[in-house]
Amino acid sequence: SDFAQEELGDIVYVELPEPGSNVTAGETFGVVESVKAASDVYSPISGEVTEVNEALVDEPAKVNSDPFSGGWMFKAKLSYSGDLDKLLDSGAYEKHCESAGDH
Amino acid sequence: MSVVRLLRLAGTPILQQLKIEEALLRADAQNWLVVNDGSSIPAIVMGISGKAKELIKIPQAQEAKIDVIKRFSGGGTVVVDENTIFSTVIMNSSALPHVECYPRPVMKWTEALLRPVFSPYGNFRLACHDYVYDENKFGGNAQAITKQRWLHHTSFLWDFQEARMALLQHPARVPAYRKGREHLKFLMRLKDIMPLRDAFLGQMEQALTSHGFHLQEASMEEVNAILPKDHLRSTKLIDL
Repeated sequence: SDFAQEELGDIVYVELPEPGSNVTAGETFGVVESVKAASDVYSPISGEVTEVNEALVDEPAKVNSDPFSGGWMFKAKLSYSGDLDKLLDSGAYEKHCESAGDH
Repeated sequence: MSVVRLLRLAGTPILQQLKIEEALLRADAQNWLVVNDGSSIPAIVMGISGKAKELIKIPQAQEAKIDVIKRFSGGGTVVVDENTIFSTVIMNSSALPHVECYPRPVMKWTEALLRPVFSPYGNFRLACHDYVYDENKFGGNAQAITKQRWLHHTSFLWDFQEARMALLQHPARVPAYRKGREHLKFLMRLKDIMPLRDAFLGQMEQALTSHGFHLQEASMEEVNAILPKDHLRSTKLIDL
């Protein structure tokens, strides 16, 4: 998310799942490195990975500069469409970030 | 008062130490302090994104028959041996609710934790995420963060062998304070300014106690019960 990339700092490395592998909602699917830290990244949905963003191998900073477009990490075929109902839309996400910043 | 389990090691090879840390971070829910007084087996240890051909003088490392490891945390490359002292803090975010579970807040907290240990001996500071006295590095840091739990580990150079340090290439990314200096010119040995190695280890434990944590000693038996539990294992020995 845009909030996470700002908190993490400049991302220098991204480790993505293999196409064909399965991801599980709420579980780790990959790792990003920033500021000498390897941080797990969690999948918002469950499904089969169909494509990963190979551009992030050479340009991991795209996650910082373009989190809503060029910094995409993977595409997947959903195994349960109900996972989408648990996700925040952009308005709810902004409200969530504002309240997180208050703590 | 939060409890921190204390695991004291001495001479444990760094590969084994890292595997223990990864298990404690990912397969356990307690807070931990791990201290290891030296690695009995010397090694070059790269961070998760490290590439041996870019960081290590491979023919020389092969000739030296030194282990090369890729660890699960971020950060750069270090050379460790029996004169490197290791400390690792593993913490639930809930134990430190005012420390956000992101790299910079965690490092700011660990700097404050260790300041009383190091400032009596000189101008201690965190520079580009390294522990330094003035402009000289004596400790390298790295972190791993997962599910509201974080790990911060440091390798402190009590002493080092120049021949082993010379196995590293000049990396592409260097901290600004290095100012173009050769590796050996920007490192320093803690033994040159701190009086006693044993006292240093005790101070690491005292630092956590001073922050209100209760240290409770753990046994290797307990750790051995955690090691086989199902968890992501990233630490590995690299074949050059």
